[in-house]
Amino acid sequence: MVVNTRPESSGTRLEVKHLTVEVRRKMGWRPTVRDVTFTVESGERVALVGESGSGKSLTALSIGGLLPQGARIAAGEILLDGDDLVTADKKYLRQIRGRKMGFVFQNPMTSLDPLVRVGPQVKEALRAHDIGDRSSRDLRAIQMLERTGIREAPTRMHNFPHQFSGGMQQRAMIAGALAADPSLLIADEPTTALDVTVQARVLALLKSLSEERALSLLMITHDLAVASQIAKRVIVMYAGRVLEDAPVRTIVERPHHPYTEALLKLVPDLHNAVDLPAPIPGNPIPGWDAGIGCPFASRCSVAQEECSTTPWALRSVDTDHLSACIRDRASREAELAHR
Amino acid sequence: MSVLTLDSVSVRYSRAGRQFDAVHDVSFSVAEGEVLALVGESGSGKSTLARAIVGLTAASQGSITFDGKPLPTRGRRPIGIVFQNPLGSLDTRMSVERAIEEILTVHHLVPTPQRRQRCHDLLDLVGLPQEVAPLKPGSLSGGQQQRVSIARAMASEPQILILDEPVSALDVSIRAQVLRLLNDLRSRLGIGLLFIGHDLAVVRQLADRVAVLYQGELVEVATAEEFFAAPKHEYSRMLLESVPSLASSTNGEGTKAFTESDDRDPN
Repeated sequence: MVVNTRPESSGTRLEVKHLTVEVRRKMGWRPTVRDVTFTVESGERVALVGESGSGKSLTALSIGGLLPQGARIAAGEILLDGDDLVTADKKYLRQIRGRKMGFVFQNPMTSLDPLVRVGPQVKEALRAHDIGDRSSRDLRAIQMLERTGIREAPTRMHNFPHQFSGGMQQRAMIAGALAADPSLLIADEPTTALDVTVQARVLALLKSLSEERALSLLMITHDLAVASQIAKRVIVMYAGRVLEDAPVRTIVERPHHPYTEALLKLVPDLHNAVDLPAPIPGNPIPGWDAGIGCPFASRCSVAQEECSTTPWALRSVDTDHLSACIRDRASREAELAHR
Repeated sequence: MSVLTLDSVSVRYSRAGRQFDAVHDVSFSVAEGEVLALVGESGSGKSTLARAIVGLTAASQGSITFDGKPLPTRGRRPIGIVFQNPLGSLDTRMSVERAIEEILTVHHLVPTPQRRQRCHDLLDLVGLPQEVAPLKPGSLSGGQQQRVSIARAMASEPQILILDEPVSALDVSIRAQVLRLLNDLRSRLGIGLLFIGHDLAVVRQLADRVAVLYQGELVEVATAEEFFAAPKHEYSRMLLESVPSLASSTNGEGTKAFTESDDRDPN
């Protein structure tokens, strides 16, 4: 397969269809990501939001063909610019990683090689894909480091990662991920390990980079507030299932699924003194422990019997708004008002 | 009323032959029944200060007193501590029950026949069912593990509890449960909490007063109302502006107060 490096300027960049990922447990292969379907348009910023065990990271790793040992794609398709990555061979995946899609992970200190200077690590994708000659790669690395906000980049190239602060390490990771000008950036909790002031700046950087390059961004986060700062569309996952998929404004102002509502209530408002929010009872469950119905039903305050017995499905509740809750909002609210 | 008082405390480290103060000239107090939040970014000296209070690190200057008396260097202290990562502070081979009983035994707090009962009472206090008693920490969820850490800290009957980022490693839906528990401990048992964190959103929900640590120095101490309404120090304002919120952002157009530049980063 020939790699098309010039992406279409518009249209669907990434399509994930009915993706199921299984992990190996003592009792055999168990599903942790179940029937996940979503798309990322060209230049669109999408956030996958969920708690630990929701399957959001395994979904992201599946896209890059980066699943760890003990995890496998059991079903589904992942189309990047129309090419299926699930059936593609390793050689093809190597050709597109770094070139068509870049990755940024949570902890820069574990993704950067501590024994290699920053410069060569930023240039790695260029070298791996044989882009340019040595001096043009150097120039590109300096430009990328400067663009991501590293001052005195020509000198800083020669530093080792430990000579960078956490925020600078993450900037260098972003510089490296975008060096070969991919059209899709997958960022898995890119600001979770950073201090809050640094987080705000890295989010602003990711956003303006995506705007100036028509870069599609798939951001994985547990933090709905962070997601709302950067994404145009938010996909809420729980126990391996997508529970809601809508533009960020809809998610924040008119959420449909009770889990999304509960998550929103847990985001504190700094400007209003409020009592401690009522916690969601119970614990998150892994995908394989959830039955055929809504996986949140066991913790949901407005669940009915049908919630566990009606097979999970995403339904359209409004234009551009999908939700897995089988109850309509009005009847749920009426019931709550009655209590 | 019992009070933990820090008076001009400095903690000095030496690195590569040079000495520097990780914490410099810090004074504050925490009273029983109150929640003081100590906030600051990584490297600000928060955890060093916590370690100094419980005696894991020696203060190089100043005094740390409880009710006017220096803290005992041996034996039981009136101060307990809970760390961020429960699996890092619990022995993975020790059952929940044994981990709690260990504290009771070491400090000769409860006669042997009543130890098991006391252990169950402590589990009850932190909202854990008796069924977890024989389990190892590895088979508990993150929230349950943190509750075990809190039960262990409470076993020595402290009057002040230091919490070093106690909910940072927990899922959001679990975080609220643990914050509730901490708030309960304060209001039911009247213990004082020194809550160390970097997440102002969490601090907002729990603290009576806020102390801001910046590069080892205390730059602001204020009541929570004052701090969140009108922070005085520039750094406090910057911290507050950085907290991502839902209200300020619709359509992914948020992050108002910040440009992407690195100008205010220390390096």
